[in-house]
Amino acid sequence: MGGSNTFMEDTLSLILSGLTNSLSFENIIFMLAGLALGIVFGALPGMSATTGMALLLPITFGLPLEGALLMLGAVYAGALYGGSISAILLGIPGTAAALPTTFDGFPMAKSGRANEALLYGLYASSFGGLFSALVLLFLTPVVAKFALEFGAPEILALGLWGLSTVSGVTGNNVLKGLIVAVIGLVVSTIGTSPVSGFNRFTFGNPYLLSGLGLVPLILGTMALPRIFEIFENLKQNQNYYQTTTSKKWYLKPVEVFKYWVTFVKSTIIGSLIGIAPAAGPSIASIMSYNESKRSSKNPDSYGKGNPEGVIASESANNASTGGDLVLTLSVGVPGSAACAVMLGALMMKGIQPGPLLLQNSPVSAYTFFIGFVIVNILIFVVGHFFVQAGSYITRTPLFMLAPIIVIFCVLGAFSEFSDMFNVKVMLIAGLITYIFVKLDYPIAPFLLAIILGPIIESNYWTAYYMTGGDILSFFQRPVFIGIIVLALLTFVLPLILQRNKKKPPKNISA
Amino acid sequence: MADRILGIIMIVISVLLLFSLRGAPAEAYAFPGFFLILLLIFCVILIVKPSAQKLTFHNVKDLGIQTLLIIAYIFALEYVGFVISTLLYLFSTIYLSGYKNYKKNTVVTVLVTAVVFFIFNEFLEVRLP
Repeated sequence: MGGSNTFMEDTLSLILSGLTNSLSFENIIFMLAGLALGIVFGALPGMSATTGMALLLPITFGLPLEGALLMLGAVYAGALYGGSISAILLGIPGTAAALPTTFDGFPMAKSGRANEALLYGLYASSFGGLFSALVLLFLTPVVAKFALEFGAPEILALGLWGLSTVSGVTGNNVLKGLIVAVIGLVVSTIGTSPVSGFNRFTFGNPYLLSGLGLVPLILGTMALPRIFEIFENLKQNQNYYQTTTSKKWYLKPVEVFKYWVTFVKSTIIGSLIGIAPAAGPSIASIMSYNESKRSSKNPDSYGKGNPEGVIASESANNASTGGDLVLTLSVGVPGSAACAVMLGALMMKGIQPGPLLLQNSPVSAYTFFIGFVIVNILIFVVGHFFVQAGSYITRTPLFMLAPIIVIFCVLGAFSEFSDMFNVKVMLIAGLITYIFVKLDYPIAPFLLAIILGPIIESNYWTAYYMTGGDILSFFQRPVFIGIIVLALLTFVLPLILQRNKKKPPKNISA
Repeated sequence: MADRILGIIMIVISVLLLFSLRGAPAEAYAFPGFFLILLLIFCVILIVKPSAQKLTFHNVKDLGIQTLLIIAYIFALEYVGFVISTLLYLFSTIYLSGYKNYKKNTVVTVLVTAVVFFIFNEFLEVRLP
């Protein structure tokens, strides 16, 4: 009794000091700067949260520990919101995690509902982010224990589950979706193999040793085809975007609460996936979108402009941030590439993440936790202005917008390694993808496969060697079986639903 | 029919890739080999039952010109550098898309190039080609 009282007192006093610390003028400036940069980076196709954080890392050398962490955290959260902006307005996800946002957000923008879509994206991102910040705050001590149960087989299962969502994004032709997915899987194996270090499909090209980069592939498969599409239809004078008639500044509570189930469910899914190691915002948003579509009363409306699609995707990707950070800080295992940058920042300051972090520097840790909550609140406020700015983009004449986007894409592909190779990769990917798109092949399965392929393969081998080659032992692990079952369900259900649609309802009398 | 051609192309590429895996240790070829075989199976199904989708372009000329411009831009970047390439590229694309007002064109081109240059070079300190 006495012991738990002291714990509560300790935690409360830590929270209070965290609160006062994070609200210092200095820290607020850091947070605002980080978040503005993050949103811009996130919105630019080709610049992801990770790139933004990596670029800022040297600057954080000179900052105090808390300021540095808060700034990086703000960039992370901001970027995940920012990704939705270009996903909705341009149909190009600014960050990989915003991929599902394009499914419904872009059609909404095209039909004149850009502001509405942007607002839903903002509210969803903030809600998810805020919840994840609270998760970070309260669950870090608890989660650290649970997370260690997640071994390689479980991550393998998660990867398979992610892949099983392919059937949900294939549109009408399942075979084509599967083909694209398998192509993606093959492409994901380019490079050095995880175990034996054999170079696959590299043909002596040193650039290919670590495989094709994610950034040029995303740009090539999502951005360039849209650009080509614009150029092709230029003379037809089709208005790509219907003008937004409403000057929406904010969503009314009614409009928000209409979808409260989606908000809450997606946030929970995102948080859970965030907590899982190596599963980050990209997987979270895909799974959440799929689940939302699967459980919806009219799944056909997804992909055509249903705000719930935007909500599902955006709240999940921001909700995973807290979970990712929990593992990063409490166990030292980054939940995503962006978190690896955070780890780098911590280590540069001489702080060792892990269970000792909370013991040795509790004040700093809680300052960060509380600060992260504040960051998400700030995103909510600041984001409204970004929404208004967004509508200006849709008013730019297309023939100017398209080349400008091309320039940004080229820069984005170039900037990762300051090398033109990735730019060429992007170009070739774009040309090939465009042909596939014209032939009615879905693109999303390719990206899913690219992201999940390496996770599946490396965790498979880790698990294989971990159990001495005894694959059957995987099935004795309850979490593994649970996730695999979910994967099978996720794969099969959309197929069954489609088949039921095609068959006319049977006559009872017949 | 386009599907059939695509399927055949993919089968040829897959076979070539499988060939390139010869001599690899088991770990290395397990996954890619499996995926390639899957792809072969799917492509065979595709060839047997292609969809009716045809490869149609609404406007090959415009698309072709712009694509060539993009390719030219990328090559120019390597030899002439960012500023000049971007200026040339922007100007030509806008011009060719039908906006023939030279003055306005130039202004926009220079403005955009300058803005991008400053943002990326000075503010973010990203190296430009």
